[in-house]
Amino acid sequence: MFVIKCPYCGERDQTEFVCHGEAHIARPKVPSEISDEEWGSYLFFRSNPKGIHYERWTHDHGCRRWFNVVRDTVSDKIIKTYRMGQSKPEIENE
Amino acid sequence: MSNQNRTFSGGRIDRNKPINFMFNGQKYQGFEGDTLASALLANDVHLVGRSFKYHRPRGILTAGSEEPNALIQLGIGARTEPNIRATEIEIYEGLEAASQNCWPSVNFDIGGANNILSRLFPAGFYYKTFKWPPSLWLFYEHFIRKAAGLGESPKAKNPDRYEQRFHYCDVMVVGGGISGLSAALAAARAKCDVLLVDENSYFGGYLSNSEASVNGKKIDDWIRIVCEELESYEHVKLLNRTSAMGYYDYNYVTALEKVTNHHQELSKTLPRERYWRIRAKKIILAQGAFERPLVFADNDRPGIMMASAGMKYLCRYGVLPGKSAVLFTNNDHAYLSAFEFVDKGAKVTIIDSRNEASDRVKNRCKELKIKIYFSHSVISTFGQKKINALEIQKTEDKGNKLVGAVKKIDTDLLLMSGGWNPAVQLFSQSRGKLKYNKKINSFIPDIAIQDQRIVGCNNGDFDLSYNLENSFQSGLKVAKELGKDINFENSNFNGKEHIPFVSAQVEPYMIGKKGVTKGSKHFVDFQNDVTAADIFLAQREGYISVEHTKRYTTTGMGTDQGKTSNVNALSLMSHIHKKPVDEIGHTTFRPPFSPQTIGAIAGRSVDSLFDPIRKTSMHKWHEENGAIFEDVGQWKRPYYYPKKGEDIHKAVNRECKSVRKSLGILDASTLGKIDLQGPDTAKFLNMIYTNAWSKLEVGSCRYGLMCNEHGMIFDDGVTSRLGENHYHMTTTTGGAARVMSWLEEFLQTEWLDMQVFCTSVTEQWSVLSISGPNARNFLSELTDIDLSKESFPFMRFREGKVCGIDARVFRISFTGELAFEINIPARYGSYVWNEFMTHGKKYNITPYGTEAMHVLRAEKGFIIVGQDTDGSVTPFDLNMEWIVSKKKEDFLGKRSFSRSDTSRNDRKKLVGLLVNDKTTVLPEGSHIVEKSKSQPPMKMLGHVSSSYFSPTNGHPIALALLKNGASRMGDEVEIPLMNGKVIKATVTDPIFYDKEGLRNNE
Amino acid sequence: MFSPLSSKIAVDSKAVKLESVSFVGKINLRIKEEDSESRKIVSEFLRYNLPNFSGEVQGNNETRTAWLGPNEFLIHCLDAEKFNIINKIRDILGNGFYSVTDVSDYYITIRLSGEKSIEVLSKGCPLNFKQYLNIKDSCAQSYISKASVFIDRLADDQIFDISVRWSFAEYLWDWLEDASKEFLSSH
Repeated sequence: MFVIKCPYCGERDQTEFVCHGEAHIARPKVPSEISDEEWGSYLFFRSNPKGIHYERWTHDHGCRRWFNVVRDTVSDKIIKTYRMGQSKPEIENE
Repeated sequence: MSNQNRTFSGGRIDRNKPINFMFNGQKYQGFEGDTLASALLANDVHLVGRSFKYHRPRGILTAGSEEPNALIQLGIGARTEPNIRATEIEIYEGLEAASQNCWPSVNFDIGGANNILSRLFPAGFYYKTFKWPPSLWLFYEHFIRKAAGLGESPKAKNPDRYEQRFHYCDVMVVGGGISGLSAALAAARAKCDVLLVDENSYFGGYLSNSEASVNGKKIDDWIRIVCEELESYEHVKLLNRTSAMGYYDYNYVTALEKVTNHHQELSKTLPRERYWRIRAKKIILAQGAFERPLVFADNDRPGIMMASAGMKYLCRYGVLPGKSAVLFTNNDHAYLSAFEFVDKGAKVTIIDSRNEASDRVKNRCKELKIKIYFSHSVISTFGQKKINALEIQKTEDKGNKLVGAVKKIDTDLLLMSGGWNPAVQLFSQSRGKLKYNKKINSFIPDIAIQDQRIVGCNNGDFDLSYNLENSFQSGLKVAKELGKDINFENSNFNGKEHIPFVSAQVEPYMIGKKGVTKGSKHFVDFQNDVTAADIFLAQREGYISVEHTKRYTTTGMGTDQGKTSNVNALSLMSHIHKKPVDEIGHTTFRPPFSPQTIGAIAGRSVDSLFDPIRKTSMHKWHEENGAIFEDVGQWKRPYYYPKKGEDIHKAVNRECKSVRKSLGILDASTLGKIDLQGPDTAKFLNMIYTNAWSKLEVGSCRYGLMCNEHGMIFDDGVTSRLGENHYHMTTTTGGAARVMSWLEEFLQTEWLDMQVFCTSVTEQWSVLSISGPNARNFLSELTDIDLSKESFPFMRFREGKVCGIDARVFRISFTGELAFEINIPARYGSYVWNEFMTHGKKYNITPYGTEAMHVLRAEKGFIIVGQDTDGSVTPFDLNMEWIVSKKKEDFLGKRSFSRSDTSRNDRKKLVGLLVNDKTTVLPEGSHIVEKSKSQPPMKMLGHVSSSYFSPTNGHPIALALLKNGASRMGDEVEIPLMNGKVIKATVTDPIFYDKEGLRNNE
Repeated sequence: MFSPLSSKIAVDSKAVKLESVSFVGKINLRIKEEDSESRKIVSEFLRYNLPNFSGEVQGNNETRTAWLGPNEFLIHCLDAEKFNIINKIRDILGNGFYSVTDVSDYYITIRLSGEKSIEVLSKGCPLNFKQYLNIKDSCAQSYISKASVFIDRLADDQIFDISVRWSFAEYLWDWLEDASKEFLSSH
């Protein structure tokens, strides 16, 4: 059970949040112009790394904001949380 | 004779407060301060249960939470609880307890024959039966279920209260022994918020009531003074009878506090147990260690117990469990028990598996005239219900070879000690890595993953002075790490123990003269009846990884999770494979640390508080008017309103007819409602819905379908334009939260520049949906809004007063009739509903429930998302091309419509079905085939999604998703039912009533 | 007027007090974090600054405004004033990007006070009360058991206004009442 630092509300219990999977998967700008394969990759394919993982969470029982989390999937350590719209921080595996 | 094994003085029991209790139907007396185990031993009751598999007589092995044998059925009736450790039960007046796993009685147990038939129950017995044909397993199961297993669960509902509690602290100390107290004291003095928990009813742990001392003071005085100081701090919380059960990520610990378990009368308001959910910045583990049994022939008879347990019964409870004792040890430390027993008048003989002991203990033995047999091993024991004799023999080759003559010794108590296993369970749960320590022949904590420290015996350190000081320093260090000012440096605690712990010098297992495969049993795991022979067998049969050995033999899989057995099993494997224990490894420790009640985990979430029940503001009226309710998510919605003598069919038929003929009213308050504001709202709706929204005028409403990015329908509803930049969206009842989250997701993560705000207003509005040819006539009498066809046409929205209350009225229809949805602020919802019911009498206003609503909409061919769709249905599948914009460049789901699977033309389509017999209402979910066969497989064409008797048409109607549906109009299909009957039906258009849609335009 | 707590009987003891708060005006206001201009206009109208941080509550004799999110506020006012305030805000912000919504019936408010109120809350609310809601005029959103809540601390004494969605109010009341029982009887 994590403690998650909501970028707006501070450290809160994980049970206030919901995880929404991998972050930084942008919706294609003009979907009609991309191939079925590219569209399929946007819809269905996600990375499943051992180590650093970028993911989206919402503070459902709180400010209702979406934000990003960098989590090490091995140690479950949350390395960083940051707001939507901020660029993806480069973090090396430990 | 009562309390015949009680010493004349000593112990932490109150001899002035006798307590009467029942065990196996017999009355006994103990004293306040006793556990059930100590009170039974005081009354010379050693035989307390039968073992799990072989039904062997078993006694009390330990004096703590690690007890594998003395599992008791505690209490009677609804409060009865199985598998409770007698060593942990504090007795109270009137306590009733019984042995379990024995029939008809613990003294004469029919299952005891299993002991004789034990060759039929080898390791892996269950797996072997599983491998045979399943019919044979069914045959075995009957007998195994009866014979195996532990206590009985209560049949009645648990009448007790259970509380839960979140708690935050700077420092949590787990274990209130000497080390835990010392660490807690340092952290407390440094002004940390400290929580100290201990599973016992007292603090001080193993050394309390011992001869040890600190700074020349008796250890008990030191414990008392430290506890008093800790209690004096407001920032310190001490919890007794509280076991830390689970250690999860980010220093999250769950702990179970027994609040009133030890009381005679359970309180009506106080909980029986409290489940603590603790988050600590720092955790100090000071859980101590469990003494390790020795493995030798018939090491499980009643009257054989751990040396430390014997000492605890003697010192803490004033019980001398045997007068002619034998101590079998492989370490110096256990000699302390022998000295205590001699001191209290018992005769003791020591069998030491080592060839030497320290001078200190040898000299003391000389003084006390205790005979020591070095390099000897106990090779067999005797006595049915309690040990009465044992045999010893000299050993060579580290105990692996027996030499010389066998000597028989009469005894009434065998104390054993194979050294100590640090209680690494919580550390390991916290993902800490263990390492094997050869000095103590056990696993100790190595690398911690979380913010924690391990002190005292828990860390494999057994020196009192070192532990006092080191634990104190750990407390200081965590305080410093927390940024506290420290103005003191050391504890100045100098401890003195009678006998220091000296490492075990022999391998921690023993093999009797008869060898492991013949005759007598050498128990490794007492609770699950796993013997050394079973471990050997598992290795021979190839189950050589620790995880396989564990599951194949079930060692360590009992309710005690192998607290006394795991290390011995690993040592045995190490011996068999001639590999160091490190290389054998260990199994994974998982929560909970000890068995815990489900009640505590459920807490208050039982009965009416199990889950929120959401009710609309008109709920009371529905209740008072006999509504039968349906669960829709957490909501309660009226299903139908039966009149006297009506069943569901009659009621629903009447409700439907009233709507079609005159006037019906539906409580539609549960519909999701979202208020959207901002300059880009129309643009946003264009992306969210499949149809176009740019041209929707202020005051108009429009139906929309939402698809996910896979192109599949996931919600629908009507959205109305209230103002220039202001919209009111409705969603399905079940989809409200999902849609809200969907909108926010795109606004917050994809289209950050889009200027739209969404606010849920579901409960702000009570929604009264009136429907039927008289809807206008009726409403016009109660509102100032001009309802005329010209000024308030279909799919429009108006604001005004209804029954004098500010209302939003939407002219939309889900029944196909002339209809208005009237939104009233929730506080006035029931008022307006009551007004409607009174004024509507002349129109025979009829409340209708969700079932009639479903029938009415199905007659019109209107879909219900989640019933006629299932996450794999596109708008095209429902013949709803008309609602999918071709002009819009993009909207959610659009791209997926051109994927090969969604665009193929033989997909299932929504159709209507009319049964040829004009009477059968097809079960929803029925499969549709072209031509039925006598048995599957049959070529499937689709399924029935909605099916009702239509009162308007006078015959059943159904909606179905049918392969190539559009090209099958007029075809006959077959629907094989569960009962073997085959129903023929004709494929039709899915609209069964008012195809032109004239009625709602009235 | 009807509230889901209409039939509930208040709990009244020194340890725990539980009462239902009658309807007041509640207005949900959304203004973008970066839109300092609109914030300034509304602040001038309210005659205090909109709260800027999580947990912040601002107010005067007429209104009380709590932080719900970086672009979301909850304004409390007299019930009779709510439409005036909504209309006024619409007037002063014009056709800009904001939202102002009446949620007076959406939320039901339960007032919990008494010496043991934090202990009652701690039974089902995962907030660290040493860190959150530890002073008067602070607020937090979280959950209590299975209901999402907004909690507003009104005084240094333990007085908390707990707002919950209408349809969860009865559940939450029953839950709080049951959780209080431990502290009500004499032993």
